[in-house]
Amino acid sequence: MTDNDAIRPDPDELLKSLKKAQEREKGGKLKIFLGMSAGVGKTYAMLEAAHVLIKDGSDVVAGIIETHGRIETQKLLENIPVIPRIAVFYRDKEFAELDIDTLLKRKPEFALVDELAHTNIPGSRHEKRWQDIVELLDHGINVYATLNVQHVESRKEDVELATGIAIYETVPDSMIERAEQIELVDIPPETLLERLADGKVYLGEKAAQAADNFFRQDKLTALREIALRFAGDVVGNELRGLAGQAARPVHEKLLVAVSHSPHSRRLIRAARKMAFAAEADWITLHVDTGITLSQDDKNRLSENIELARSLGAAIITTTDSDLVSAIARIGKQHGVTKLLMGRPNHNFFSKLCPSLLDRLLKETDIDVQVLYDESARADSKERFYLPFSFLADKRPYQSALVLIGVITVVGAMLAPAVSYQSVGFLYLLAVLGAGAFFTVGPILLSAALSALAWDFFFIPPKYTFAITRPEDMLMCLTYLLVAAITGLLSHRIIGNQQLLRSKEKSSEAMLDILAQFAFQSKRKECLQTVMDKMRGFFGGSFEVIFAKGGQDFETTTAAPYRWMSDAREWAVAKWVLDNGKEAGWSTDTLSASQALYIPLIAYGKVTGVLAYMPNNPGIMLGEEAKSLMLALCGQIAFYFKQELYREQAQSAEELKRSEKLYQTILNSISHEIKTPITAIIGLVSALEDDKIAVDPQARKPILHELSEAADRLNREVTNILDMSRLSSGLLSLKKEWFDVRELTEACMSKLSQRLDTHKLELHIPDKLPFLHADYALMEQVLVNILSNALNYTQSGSRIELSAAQEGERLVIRVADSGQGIPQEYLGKVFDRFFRVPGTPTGGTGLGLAIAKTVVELHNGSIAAINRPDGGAEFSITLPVEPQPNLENK
Amino acid sequence: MRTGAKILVIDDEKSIRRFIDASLTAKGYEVLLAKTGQEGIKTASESHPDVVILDLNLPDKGGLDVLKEIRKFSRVPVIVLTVKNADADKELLLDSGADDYLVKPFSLTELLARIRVALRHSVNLQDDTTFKHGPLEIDFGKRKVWIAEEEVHLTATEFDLLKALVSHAGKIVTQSHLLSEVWGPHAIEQSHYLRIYVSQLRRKLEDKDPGLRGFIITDPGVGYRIQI
Repeated sequence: MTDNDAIRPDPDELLKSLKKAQEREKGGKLKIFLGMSAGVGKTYAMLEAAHVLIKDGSDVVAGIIETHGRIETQKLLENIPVIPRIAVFYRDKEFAELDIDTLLKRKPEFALVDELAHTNIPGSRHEKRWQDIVELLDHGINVYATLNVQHVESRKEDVELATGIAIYETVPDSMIERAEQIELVDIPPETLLERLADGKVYLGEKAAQAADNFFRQDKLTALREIALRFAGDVVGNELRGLAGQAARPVHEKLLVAVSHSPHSRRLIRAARKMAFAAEADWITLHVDTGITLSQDDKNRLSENIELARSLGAAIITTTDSDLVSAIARIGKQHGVTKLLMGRPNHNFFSKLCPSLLDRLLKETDIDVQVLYDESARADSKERFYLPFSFLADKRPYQSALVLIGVITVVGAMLAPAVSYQSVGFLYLLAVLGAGAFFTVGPILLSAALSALAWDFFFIPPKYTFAITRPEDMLMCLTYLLVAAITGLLSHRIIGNQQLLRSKEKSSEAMLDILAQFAFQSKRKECLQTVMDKMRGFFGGSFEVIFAKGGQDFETTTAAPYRWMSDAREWAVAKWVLDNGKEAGWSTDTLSASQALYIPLIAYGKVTGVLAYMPNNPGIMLGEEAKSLMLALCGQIAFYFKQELYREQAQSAEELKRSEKLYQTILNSISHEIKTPITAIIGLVSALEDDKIAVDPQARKPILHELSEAADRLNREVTNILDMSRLSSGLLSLKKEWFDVRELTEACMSKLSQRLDTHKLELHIPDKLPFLHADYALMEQVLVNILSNALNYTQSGSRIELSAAQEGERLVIRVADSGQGIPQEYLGKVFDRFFRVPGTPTGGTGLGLAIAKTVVELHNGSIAAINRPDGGAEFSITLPVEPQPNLENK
Repeated sequence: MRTGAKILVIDDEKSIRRFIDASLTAKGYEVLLAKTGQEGIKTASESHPDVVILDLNLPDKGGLDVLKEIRKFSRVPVIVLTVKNADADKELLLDSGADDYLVKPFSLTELLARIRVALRHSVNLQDDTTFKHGPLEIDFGKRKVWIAEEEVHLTATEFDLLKALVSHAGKIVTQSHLLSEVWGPHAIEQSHYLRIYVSQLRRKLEDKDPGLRGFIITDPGVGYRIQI
């Protein structure tokens, strides 16, 4: 590496700092007023800053301000609008919390929120107030907040060490990192103690007892140092960020391995602190060695991993029966430079086998930093947290006892026939078998027990533990060793196999589920199958909710589960949809809800929400199950997105087609509409002529033409409007009962003027069933068909209108004695804008298309044929419905 | 016909106002014009017109609102101008107190006929006990009907229906009005009663005499009208 390389900024780093800056620009800005303890005047400083903002004309609103009755603070609050707190009921008591919804709705430029580390009352949206603030920031609201250094997650231990007081409320560093600015509100400890003596410091009811212990010069000085150093670290980081990201020649990567041990939490925090100081990425690794954990242990493991996640670690879970080889593998894969581990406990086993630390140093090329853990030492009753969890379950030990007992009895029965040496092989077989079924403890127990039993019952002198012959002594000791080793080996082999199998099972499930996306074409069916498969794998019930636009939700299952009908559950789903973050059961947002909601995010957009309702809410999801679920969510989201693209492509195709249709319509209509308009304009200008104006004889034919042209224009426009109304799909039929005769007569009176030129014959029998149809539309059908006949036949020719019942159908026929329709166009006359070539102009080619659409809307059919004796015949066939009853008066 | 009657035209379209103004003035009516619903209501209350012609689509207020306003202080006949395909609106308008409607585009002849009917109604001759139209003669007191001096036998329902139509002769009568008047309010949804009885009436009256053809006119989806 040359010097140049060391100075040149890493492109990844540049990108990261750019991203960070972008994120800050997008969301609201956070300013934290940090103090070493209560009473330093954080709230006061925040309010003063708020007044500066107000003077500058900013819109500032107070969300939560704790004045604790201090008059100076109260006075400062006077000119600032306050959002009243919202009442939250918990166990029949009323609590006042930050009204986040009102704040979001009010959307001020700046919001003031006191006590960043506050824990909300159960039933609030978020578990912690800092999460409320994250939501405010995400919605573009700038926030001023106050915080005591003891609540900084990564400084928790330092503070506990310095003050001896346990800290329960913490704020993750990733949250604090969002702050654009951290203002340290600092006063010397002496001054604070003076203020305390003057009663100017509010300590809260509970804290008052601890105050004597807490507010001591030495402790305050320590706290002050921690606060100053924290602020310094933040500024240092900022500076390095500004200095062109060049300060790090070597890219550090930190790894911390965690288990279900409560000590892991300390390790995680320490790792975070180191990583932050070194500005390194850090990985939290959990190795699933295949040991069975109790439910408490599982929950603690989830909590530990959650803590690491909240502190900004990358989480890796892997399966390996050997911790060291797993660390070595992951370390190599991810280029880890430093490993952080707790100082191992010295006990019987750590002396027996090579220590973890030794193996790590030998088998990996990673620097190892060992953390001294005082609390682990002091707590002598602490359970031994390593892959061996002794006495977690007593049953295997009892089984081991029984096994050895049985073998001893069998051996005793065989003893007269076989030598005492061969009995040893029986014991060995038993220990081997134990290896297959038991964990390390029972295996070692059975190895030791069997050696003792063999010695006692079979190796002479019998019924004593004494062994006289040296070779027997050697044999017995060798036996113990061999039994222990083979037992452990067979345990390990089988354990590995089981791990592999469970791995295989989950990857099989994954593949199986993924395959559904490829095989099922319809979204709803596909998701339903996927949900079924997931239900089969995880248990509980699943649901995918996706936004349909606006306030509408759609779910995959035909009948949503009962829990989904709960409005509160919907609200959680909606929140996840809006915020793109996990919420609900087992998370710390809206955790009171029954189900877990995971956002489906593809290409940075939330497309839906996966809801998971566990069978037993008391059992947390295992880390592996959770990762599998998250991976599947990614796949579902991806599928959604693809689906969306497909739909978009489809609608683009449709648009193209409709544009083409639009062009056809324009071409066809513009001609037909322009003809009467041209006539009208021409005729009107003729009327303006002086000679014609004074000659009534000349005026008359012009006026007649004018009225005809206007009629024609009206007909064409009406047809176009009707067609668009019919094809819009918005039309609903207004069905009525009516008589065919009524219909035909209405049509004839409408066309009376035009019918004068033709001979119309009516054949309508008296006893026809009533039709159940939309009268106005059916009238239009008949008028269109009749005018079609009128348009295309010579005047004076015959038109026959008849109706008849044929079985369950009623047929209305219109026959003319014209030229007929050329055979090749018979199938096309009902097409939109189709006009038989060579026929006189005077129509848009829509009349018959409208007739066909209407008849088909009534479940009927329409057909055109050429009659054998010349002329065309149109027939409308409509179903006859059960006739209505008449109420007789 | 009473000439010189005052006619108020409420329409925002200048060309329609001009066309109606010119045509009606030529026929001897006195025409008042209003561009907006508000202006129309004001003129109607101040000038006491004999007939109001009201456009359904006005820029400031819906035709229905204007109609309701006018109905608060006046029983003046109102003819509504509508466009096609607004059946539901038409029925609502008629049931809310409009007397008649005209679908755009309409001819002057149609408009004049409607105005005549409206004016006649406003004079009101409902107390007649007999009705005569061409060959048709009805005696409401005796509940008897003759065509060309020959008695036609109608059932009780048929007669009630005919009476309901004739008593509003020339004017559109809505389906719901006819159903509740003849069968009672419970039958208001049973429009097929009307269809069937009207077709029976037509058979008994119109088929008897060519002079009565087109005597009962169907207004699809709205109601019926007796042509006189």
